[in-house]
Amino acid sequence: MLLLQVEISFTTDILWTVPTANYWFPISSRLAGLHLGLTAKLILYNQIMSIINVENLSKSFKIYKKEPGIKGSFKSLFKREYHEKKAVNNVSFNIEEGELIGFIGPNGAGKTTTLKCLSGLICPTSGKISVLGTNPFDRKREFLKKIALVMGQKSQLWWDLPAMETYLLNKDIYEINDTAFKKTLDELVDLLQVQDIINVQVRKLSLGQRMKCELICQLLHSPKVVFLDEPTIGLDVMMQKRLREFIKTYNKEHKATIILTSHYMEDVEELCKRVIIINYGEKLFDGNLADISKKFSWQKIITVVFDKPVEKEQLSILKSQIKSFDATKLVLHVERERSNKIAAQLLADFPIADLNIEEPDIQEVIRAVFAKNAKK
Amino acid sequence: MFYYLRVYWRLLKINFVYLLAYRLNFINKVISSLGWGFYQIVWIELLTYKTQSVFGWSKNELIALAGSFVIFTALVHFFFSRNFQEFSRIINYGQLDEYLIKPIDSQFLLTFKIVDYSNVFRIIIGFYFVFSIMIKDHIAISLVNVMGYLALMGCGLVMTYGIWSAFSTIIIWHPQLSNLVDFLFNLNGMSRYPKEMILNTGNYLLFFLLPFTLILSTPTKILFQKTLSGDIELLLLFTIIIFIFSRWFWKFALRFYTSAS
Amino acid sequence: MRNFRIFLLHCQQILEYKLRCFIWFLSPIQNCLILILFWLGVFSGQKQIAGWTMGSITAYYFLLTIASSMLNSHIEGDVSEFDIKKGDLVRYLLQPYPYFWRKFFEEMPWRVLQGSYGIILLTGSILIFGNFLQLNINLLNLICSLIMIILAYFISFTYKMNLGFTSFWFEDARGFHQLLEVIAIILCGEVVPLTLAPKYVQQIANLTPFPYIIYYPVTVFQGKYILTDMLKIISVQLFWLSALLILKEILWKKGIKSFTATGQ
Repeated sequence: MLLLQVEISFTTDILWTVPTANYWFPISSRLAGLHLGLTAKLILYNQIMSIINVENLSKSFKIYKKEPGIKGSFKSLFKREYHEKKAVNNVSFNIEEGELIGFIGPNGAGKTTTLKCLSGLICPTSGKISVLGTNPFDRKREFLKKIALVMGQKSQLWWDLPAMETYLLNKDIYEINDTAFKKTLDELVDLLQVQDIINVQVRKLSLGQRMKCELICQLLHSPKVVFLDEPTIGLDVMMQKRLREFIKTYNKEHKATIILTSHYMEDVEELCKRVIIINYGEKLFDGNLADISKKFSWQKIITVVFDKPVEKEQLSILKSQIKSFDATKLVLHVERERSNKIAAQLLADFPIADLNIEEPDIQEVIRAVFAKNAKK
Repeated sequence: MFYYLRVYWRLLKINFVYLLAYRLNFINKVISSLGWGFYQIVWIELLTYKTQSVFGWSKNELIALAGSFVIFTALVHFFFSRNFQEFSRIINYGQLDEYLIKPIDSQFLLTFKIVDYSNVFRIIIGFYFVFSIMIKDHIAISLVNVMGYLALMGCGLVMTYGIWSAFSTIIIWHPQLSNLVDFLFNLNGMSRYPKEMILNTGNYLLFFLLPFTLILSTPTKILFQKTLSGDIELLLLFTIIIFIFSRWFWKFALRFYTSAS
Repeated sequence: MRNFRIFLLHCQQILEYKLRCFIWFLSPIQNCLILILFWLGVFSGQKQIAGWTMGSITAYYFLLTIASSMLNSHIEGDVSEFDIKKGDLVRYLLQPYPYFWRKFFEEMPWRVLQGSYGIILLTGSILIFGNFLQLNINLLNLICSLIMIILAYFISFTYKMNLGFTSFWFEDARGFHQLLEVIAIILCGEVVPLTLAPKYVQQIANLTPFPYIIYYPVTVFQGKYILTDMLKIISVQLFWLSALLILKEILWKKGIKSFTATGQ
């Protein structure tokens, strides 16, 4: 399918030609001595482009520095020291329709800043972004009607009123018709089980209940792209699980593209096939979750359960790779390439009841990656 | 156009629900607004206690001007003053995000979200004083004059909105200036004085206060059939320029919004 | 020493908000200048009204601006909203230091800063508008007005503390507080000097502590009174201060009992 975009611009020449489809016709106009005219350009391009396209995105902030104490306060009256903080540094990626992507990174990594650039809230310092075919910072109405940004720590519900009032306001702002509104509202309320609380004042709700009402509020207009910024922060374990199930269901049923940032690994492990790891504003990894271990960790973990007790001396060859050992259970960290060979050797030399070869815990791997990056 | 009217109608309804839910708060605000309403009349009575006429305005006309100020302030509070008071908090805590992410003009939603119904009663006080002075002075109350009065007051309201908006936009660069709105209320207070007061000084430095003095002097002059010397044209001109500037300035400032995390 | 350190800490806080403080001061200055312009119009017709000339009324409004920004305490908002309603009072109760004095030293830096802005303004105006201002300053006036200023601030502070304490019993009395504020502005002489107001306004004012906070210190500084009058004013100030302090003790004791009992 081809997409046509018509771009109109003013120039000060007298005569232009306007191409439409396959023919061209000249147009000219003179306006009271001023030589103004219109040029219409037709841009044809392939619509088979990603729903989100980010090229070399960078964002820097200016931070003021002040010395402590009253002397410092006086000094800052006359001279202020700035330094530039690069929140996002040359990040590029593409996201296709219907994907559920996780952004992982420690606090201050640049995840939220990237999300805010993608949703058009802040203007990037440099780079190109295209979401749903437009530049988010233009904040076109049609674009804003198709996206949603849910921030875990902030709420757009009117604090002193029931959530339902905010829903009705959003219905008018997003121009949702009555039938679509009722249908979507019923579906979401059912999924999240909040029938009793949408007519209770928001200030009287618990954090988990507020989060559910907040999610409904943001999804009433059936957005195509949903940005979730730390949606499970501060929630108890049961609520986190429920929210994750909801997000998974929503992504499957509505084919909405969901980008999730979190520093809870469980969120990402359960929901996302593809992750992007960001640290200090830079992209460290972009690919399948399962491949993280392969890329960053040189190890595999072999867990062995013996039939009968084994002496430690018998395992002296593998001494350097032993992580933990008691009479019947052994845990080894071995190099990826040698794991099969070592497993085969163990099976041959020892009476083994069970043997497992696993990838290292993803959280450990990522933690190690961040630690290494921090030292740099 | 209808879109914004529909959204505003919804905002009016939601704010009314809020009023019903917090009745004690509403009563407190009504008492407060009535107190300040009467204060404006007492204020001008005190200032003119020992004098019968200033700047070509009689004592009664000045009281009517104060009455107009009471009506005007009530309208400012009703439509948008509470929203400007929230500006600093919203920008400081990065809550502007929720306004920017919606497919509606952010300045509209930000400045018209909260409607303060408690000032409706103050309008009644204002109209009472204006019309009782007119009756006392035997001024004919004609439909044309009243429509002109209301229309020009509406014009003044638009200009005030533009001025407040332009000043409040500065908060995007300095979020800690939450007391800017108090200063703006004070600037509004300028409209209690007749325009002739500024012109009389002949001091060009003070002419920047001229637009404020036009806001209420002009409609009151229409009502009291005083002579106008280009007042209406000046008022309209200032309104258009200030409003357009404030819209442009807001859009310009949004590029610098950094959003707290 | 401890008080000085607390004072310095609050000074530091204020310097962070210098632009904010400047804006706070713009409003009273603007009011002052505009009122003077208004009186210019009034005095264009007559040279003297009830003992006031353009010079003396200009001086009155200038001094009024400084006095009201320096002597009007605003502690009641802090006390009722943050300490009592939000419960921050607990923090103060745990300290071995009287709450009254703690709040006093918290507010001092703000008043000093606002006062400084005012004094700069006054010096500047005397240099620029020297000929327009009519001041009758001599040593006696100066000493008496200094005493009155100190007493006036204490009266204002204690009155506002008492107002704040009403939050121990009334959840929301903002409407009532605003009404009092309106009355106080009129009776403090902040609209017009009391001698230019109707007689009954002056009589009502003298029955309240309000003119003793702003009006009398300002007019004494201007040199409008003889010694016996000034001493009379000081004694009335002492009367009001004692009355308000007694009231404060009663309200505080009763209030604290109800505060800690309900665990607000």
